[in-house]
This record gives sequence, C-alpha cells and structure tokens, in this order.
Amino acid sequence: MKPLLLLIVVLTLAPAAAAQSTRVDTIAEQQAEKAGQLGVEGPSKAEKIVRQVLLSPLLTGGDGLYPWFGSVYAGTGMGGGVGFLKRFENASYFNVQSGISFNNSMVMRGTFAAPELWRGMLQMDANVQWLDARGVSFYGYGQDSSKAARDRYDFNPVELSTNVTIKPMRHVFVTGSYAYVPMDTERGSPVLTPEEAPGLDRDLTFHTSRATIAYDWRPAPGYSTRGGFYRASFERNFESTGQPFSFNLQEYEVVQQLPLVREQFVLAGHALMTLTQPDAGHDVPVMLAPFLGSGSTLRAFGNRRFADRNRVLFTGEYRWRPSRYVDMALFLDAGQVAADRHQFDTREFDVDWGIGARFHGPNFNALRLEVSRGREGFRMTFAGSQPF
Amino acid sequence: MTQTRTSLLLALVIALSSLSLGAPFDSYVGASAVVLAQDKQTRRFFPDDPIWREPMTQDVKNAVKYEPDLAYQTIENLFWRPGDKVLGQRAKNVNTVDEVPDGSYFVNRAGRMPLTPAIVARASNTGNGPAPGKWIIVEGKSDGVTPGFTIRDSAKQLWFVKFDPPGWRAMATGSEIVAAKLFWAAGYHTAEYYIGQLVPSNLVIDKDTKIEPPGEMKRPMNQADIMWLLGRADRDPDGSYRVIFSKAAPGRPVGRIKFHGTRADDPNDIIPHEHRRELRGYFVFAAWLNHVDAKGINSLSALITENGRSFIRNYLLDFGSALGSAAVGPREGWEGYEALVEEPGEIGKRALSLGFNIPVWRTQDYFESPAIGRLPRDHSKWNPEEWWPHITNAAFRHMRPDDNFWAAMKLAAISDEMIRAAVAEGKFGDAASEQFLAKAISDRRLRILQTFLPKVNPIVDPVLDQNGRLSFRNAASDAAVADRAPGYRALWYTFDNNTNRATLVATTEGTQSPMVMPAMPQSEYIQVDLAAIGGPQAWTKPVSAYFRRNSGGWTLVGFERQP
Repeated sequence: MKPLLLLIVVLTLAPAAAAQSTRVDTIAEQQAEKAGQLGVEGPSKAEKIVRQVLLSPLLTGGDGLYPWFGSVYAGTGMGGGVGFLKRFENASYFNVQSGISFNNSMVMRGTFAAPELWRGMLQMDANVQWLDARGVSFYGYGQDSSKAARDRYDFNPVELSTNVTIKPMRHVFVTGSYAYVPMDTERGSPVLTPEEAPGLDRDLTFHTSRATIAYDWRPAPGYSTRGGFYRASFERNFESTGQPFSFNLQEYEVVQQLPLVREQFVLAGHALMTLTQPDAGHDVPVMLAPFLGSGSTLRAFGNRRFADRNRVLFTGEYRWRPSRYVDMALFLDAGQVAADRHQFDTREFDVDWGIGARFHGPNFNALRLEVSRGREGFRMTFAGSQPF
Repeated sequence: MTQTRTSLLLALVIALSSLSLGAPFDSYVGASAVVLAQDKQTRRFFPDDPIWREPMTQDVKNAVKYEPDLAYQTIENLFWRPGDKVLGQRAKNVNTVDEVPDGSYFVNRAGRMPLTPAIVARASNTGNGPAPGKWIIVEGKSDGVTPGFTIRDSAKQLWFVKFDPPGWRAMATGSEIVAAKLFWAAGYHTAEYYIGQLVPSNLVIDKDTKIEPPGEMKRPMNQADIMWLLGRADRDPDGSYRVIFSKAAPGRPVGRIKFHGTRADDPNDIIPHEHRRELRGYFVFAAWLNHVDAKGINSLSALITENGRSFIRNYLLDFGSALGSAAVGPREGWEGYEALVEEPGEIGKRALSLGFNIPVWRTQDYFESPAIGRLPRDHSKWNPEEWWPHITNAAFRHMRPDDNFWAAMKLAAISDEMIRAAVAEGKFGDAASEQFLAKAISDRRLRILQTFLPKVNPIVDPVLDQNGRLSFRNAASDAAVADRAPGYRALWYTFDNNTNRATLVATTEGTQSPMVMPAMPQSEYIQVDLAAIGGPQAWTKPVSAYFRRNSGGWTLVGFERQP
C-alpha cells in the first residue's frame, strides 16, 4: 500500500510544483485565474447615483426641471418648489420657478435673460412674477413703533419688469429698469388705522422706473473677501390709478471689505441709506416703504420690524476664516428709520450684535447661520446669501 | 486558489490513505497539517528572482472605456475612503529585492538606468511636435479650468493644445513641461510634450467638431468659439499664442488610473492598486513637484496592442497645476498645504481661535512672477510629510515609510543638473524665475531626502563577493542628509528556501562596509540581517538580504526593509 500512497502524493503534487517553477509562472497562474473571472469596468451603484444627482439642472445649470429652495418673499420663511431651465445660444436662458413657503405664501416667476450680449457689455432680461405673500408684518411707521402693535397683511403683486445693464468699463454697471406692478393687499383683522398704515387694503398700480449706477470690484458679488461695491439708485414710483401714493426714492449703498493676513481676517463694513420723497399730498405705501429688521439689516429684530419713509443702516463685521468654505463673523448692526432724513440721530439708532457662520463656495454663499441679540432679545438667522 | 485547492485535495488523499492503512487518528491529522504548512511555506525564491519586468501574460481583449466622475471620486475619497481597510501593509507588487519591476505604471529609470541631463530634457519625446501645415480642430475644450483644443496635424496625429492664462505667459505651459520631464525621469509613463506657437489663422474647424460652452448646449463649433477660447489665453504681441502640445498617447483610451482595487476587465491587473508601491510613492513625487492635482482624472489608461497582444499602460497627464502654477492663475497659498476640504478638527480649532490659529501658508513669503507663478520663497523648512494634494486617495493612505524611502531613492538619483535641464525645457523666458524654480525643485528634493531617507534603516545595495566580503551603502549618509552610523551589526544565517527557515550561524560587527562573512556551513542560500549600531532608532531595525550561491560567488536574490 505504501507505494500506492506515494504515487498518489507525487501525482497530486506534480501539477502544483510545475505551475510554480518560476516567479513569472506563479504570476501567470494568478492572471490566468483572473482571466476566467473578468467583469466590466464601470461605475459602481453609488457612482451612478451621484452622477444622476450631479447632472441635475440644479447643479449643472443644464436644461430641465430642478428643485428650488429659497425665500418666496422676505419674512415668509423658507420656501421650496420646482424650476425649469431652458438654455439658448450666447448664454441666454429662460427660467421659470414656482414655490411655496412654510406660511403658505406662493410665488410663480419667469425670466428670460441674455447676460452676454455685445461681448458681455450688455445684459438684458424680462421678468414676470405673481406673488401671494401671506401674513407680512407691519408695526406702524417709526423707530418707536411697538412690537405689540403688529399688523399683518396679505400682499398680492403681479410684476412685469425689464432690466437693461450696460458695462461700459470694468467694474462699472449702469442699469435702467422698468416695472409695471399692480398690487393689492388685504388684512383679516386690522390693528392699525388706514392713516397709520398708508396704502394697505387698496388696489394700487405702480409704474416704476429706476436708474442705477454701480462700481463693483469684488471678485464675485455672491461671496468675496476683498473689494468694494458702491451703488446709487434713483427710482420713480408712479401710482397710475390716481391714488396718492406716488413717490421718488434714492438709495445709496457702500460695501467695503478689507482683507488682512492674506485674507485670514476680513474687516467688512456696510452702509445703506434709503430716502423717499412723496409727491405733494402723497405718502409712501407700507408695502414699498424702506424697512429695517431682517436677516440682512437689523438682524436681532423681526422681519420689517421698523419701517418709515427713510432709513439708514451701518454694519460692521469681523470675519475670520477657519476653512476655505466656512467663514465666522462677529457683527454689529446699527440703524434707524425716520419720517424725515433730518431726524436721523445716532443716539436713536437701534443696535444689535451677534456671531455667525457662513458656508460658502468660491463665489457664492450657500448657508448663513447667525444668532444675534438686540433690545428685543435673541434671534436666529438662516439665510442663503451674504448679509451684504 | 488553484494551489490551495490542490493542497487540500492532497491533504484529504493522505488522510484517507492513512485511514485505509489503519493509522492512528493523530497521525493523519498531523499529515494534513504538514501539507498545509508546506503550502503556506512555498519556497521563497524562484530561479528567476528577482524579476525586473512585471509579467503581463494575458491578452486584454475586452477592456471598455470607463470615464470616472471627478465629483464622485472626490466624494468617495473624502468620505468613504475606498480600498483595503487594513493600513500598514507592505506593498505587494515589489520584487524580491524590494523594488518595483517595470510594468504598466512604471519603468525603472532614475537610479537604474544612466540618466543624463540631456536624456531628462528629452524625456518621452520622440519628435519635434505637430507636423507643419493646417491644424484641424476636432474638439474644443471649454470645460475644465483651462481652455484648449484637440487638433489633428497633417500627419493625422492628434494633439491636445493648452494655453497660459492671460498675464501669466509660460506659467502653466512651462510648469507642465518641467513636471512631465521629471515625472518621466522618476519612472512614470508620460505623454510627449512640446512648447510651440499657435497662429490662429493656422486653425481649421472640422465640420463635425462640437463644443459645449459653459451654460450652453453642445453645438457645432464656429470661428467665434475659437476667438472666445483664445480670449481666455495669454496672447503674444504678434497675435500668436504660446501653447503646449501634448501628443495623444498610443492606443485606445479605456479610462483613468484608479488608486484602489483592480480593473475588472484587465486580467493582468491582479495587485490592488493601493498596494502598488509606485502609486503609493507617487505621493512623494507629487509633493516634490507640488502636483496638487494628482488625481485619477489627470491620467490615462490606454489599451495598447503590440505583436498581436493587447495590454493596458497607464500614463500620468496634465501637470498644469504643478509647481507654481494653478493652470488658470498662480498657485493659491493653501495648495500643497491643505486638501480641498480641510480636516474637521482643524476647522474647529481655527473657528474657536477667532482666527488667530493661522496656517503657515498665510504668513510665509512667496516668490511670484508671471513666468512661473507663485511658490514659497524658502523651502528649507518645508515638510513633505505635511504636503497635501487636493484630493488624497487609497494608495496615498496606504503609503509606508519604506515606500517613501523607495521614492526618495529615485529622487537621490536625479541630480541638480537634470533638474536644471528639465526647467530649461520650460522655456520660461525669465532667467531669474528659471533659476529660482530650479533651486526650489532642488531644495524640495533635498527636504524629501532629509525627511524620508533616515526614517527607515537606509542600508542599500548589499553585495557579497566571491571573497566573502559584504559591502553595502547607507543611503542617508551617502546623500549627506544624516551622519554616518557608528557601526553595523550583521547576523548571518543559513537559509532553507524550501521551508523558509533561517538558522543563525554567527554575528559580526564592523564600523563600516565591507564586512567579512564568517565561516558558514554549506548552504545554497544565506540570509544576512544588517542593522546600525547607534544612529537613529529606525536604523537599528535590520534589513534582511538574501544571497544565492552561484558558480562564481553570491547573487542577491532578496532584500527586505521593514519600517
């Protein structure tokens, strides 16, 4: 039996030994084994999913339907909806959006824009918007308005507008705009009298023409750490149904950013002044009045907490950059509304301060989280844009 | 697998045979164990060891093109960390003397072939660039960070054409040339690159050429598109453009280098890529040349057919974001110091510090010029271990000190003269900038040698001559980046290649190479463990050299360096 056993052992070992006579043979054996088990090189399931998401129009700017998130109207809370984008030659596009907010406000808007005309020196767009904003706050005109006197109204404007922007030289923008805006408002149970709340509960139609000149040397308006932005706008709001709400408006804005230590720190300042001049015997309607109190003005105060015919706002921020995608900021806001510009008095300014984090890309702000404190308490801000 | 199955079968046969012979139970259990042990201890060295060419024995017939998604790769490497989860494993594609054989990713050049500055300056180039005559645009490159075209010259050869950004003449094109030459010298497959001038009137748009400008649909390319693309490029006063021509690699493109796993359709690809030393060591070369864009998308896997058989060769491409260039502008300060997304802990610390935890790249001094872009002015304190590409990968995560040592040894063989020759090929047109760039590359090379050579036992090139003298080199002290070791200890073993078992015979000590072999019993193989006496702690961990007796003396067949 022993020779038989040895024979079995030798015969069994022989193929293995022959297959491994050299290093090359050993590797060749492994390669031959893989050759019998080949697959197809291609994306994994996870990659396919990621590709689908990344190829959506929201992220690629490509044609088609996309989800939309944003604000239907300031003070109505977060909103969401759906959009549709169709692109044409020369970077022109048609974009429609429809959305609804947490408080049931709705918007539908459409834009046709041609932003790269005449070698990029000319931009044109045409817009139409229908808005149903619910529960817009108004506390009465003046800095001393009472928080308890809040009135709420539903605001329903339809806006047809067009803008033409010429860029005659680098950083300089000259824009002419026209808008036709029929609007109505409605209050369920009014708190303020018609005299205290001019323009509410009326059907008004405005023809608004605006001229703006701006110098913008920030690398990108959506997010930047250096540069400045200086703007002056002049606006004529003509109420065409004969009601006494025609007025002129001037607005001046300065944004200045000072980077330090190669943009590790940024000192940023913002000044905004809005002045209105109603026609004789006319007043500025509540819906179009300058206001303070929002995620980008007096941040510790509720939306539209202060409104009047004029406003002034100063903001200073100390920003530091723990990441290239996250900025932190300590900020201070100070501002006032007044019936007359001569009533502006720094001693009357409302002041708040706070701290925030901004999550951003190279040229856009994705999310801003802030907590601020003023004389009416703490307030959180969630926003998708820079404060200024 | 086959081998394991065979051994199991053998064990079963022996066990059954023993049973049939009426052997006691413990004897057939023991017999099985012996066979399995032999299987685990297959002989260590084969007659053809060490191999210097990676076998590619299978014909790659069915490789299909797969273009990985850059965003997915980024997300995958940031959050999922693909590849083998067990870090710290030795590279699996090294030969028995701890070197990478020539293969589909790498060819041993620096340190193995006699490189000269002229050879490095020529690198992979075989001609002079595109053939004269009209150049037909077959594709417009409007995506990515730089504008470009794909052209077909009068010899029907395809070329990729890229430009410098406005105001930075020579920066991107010159940096790409320099990096390509030096990556070639290090051993990687690279395309052929040429600097040239492009005259717009020499371009012709092919009737089928399409372009997809940003924010627009894909459509036929027209003359305005050429002007738009050229508008994003640096223009010379005579209206021409300095460009870099990159010759289309031979073969059919089938994808990009992946840094983990293997290609499913390549039977020759059997080593997971995170365990390939040349892909781990790519980190060191990328750090050297500040090639922050060292990601899969900047490579090419091409199916090449030679002598009726097909195989895949992998190229490194697109070095426009290397050295002081970020392709569309000068290198940003953070590039090379941080990944595309910083470490969360670091972000937290900086957030809490009100910004006063300031990264070094924000405060250091930079050299900046339109010709070469922006680089730190002083590299004497640069730490290559803290270098970051935009996106890391599985191979980089698996890198060990012995992989870094291997790469540093390649760099030790690239001289300052070779570096200057490569920089001269960049034709930067600014002598001071060229001089600075060459010095910066040399200084970074020195910092890599200083950092990685002493991190492991740096003994290299052991030779046992017919007179029994064992000579070797200390790579760290030879490169003048560490002091000489006070002495060396050698443990001499006989080595049984069949059982993989070493038997200690003697220990000798000496202050330097060579050392004398003690009297050894007759043995086909001997093993010598060599360590420093004194010196850095890492040097006291021995390297193991294995010699096989031949007719005239001893041949090195094995070498192991453990970190």
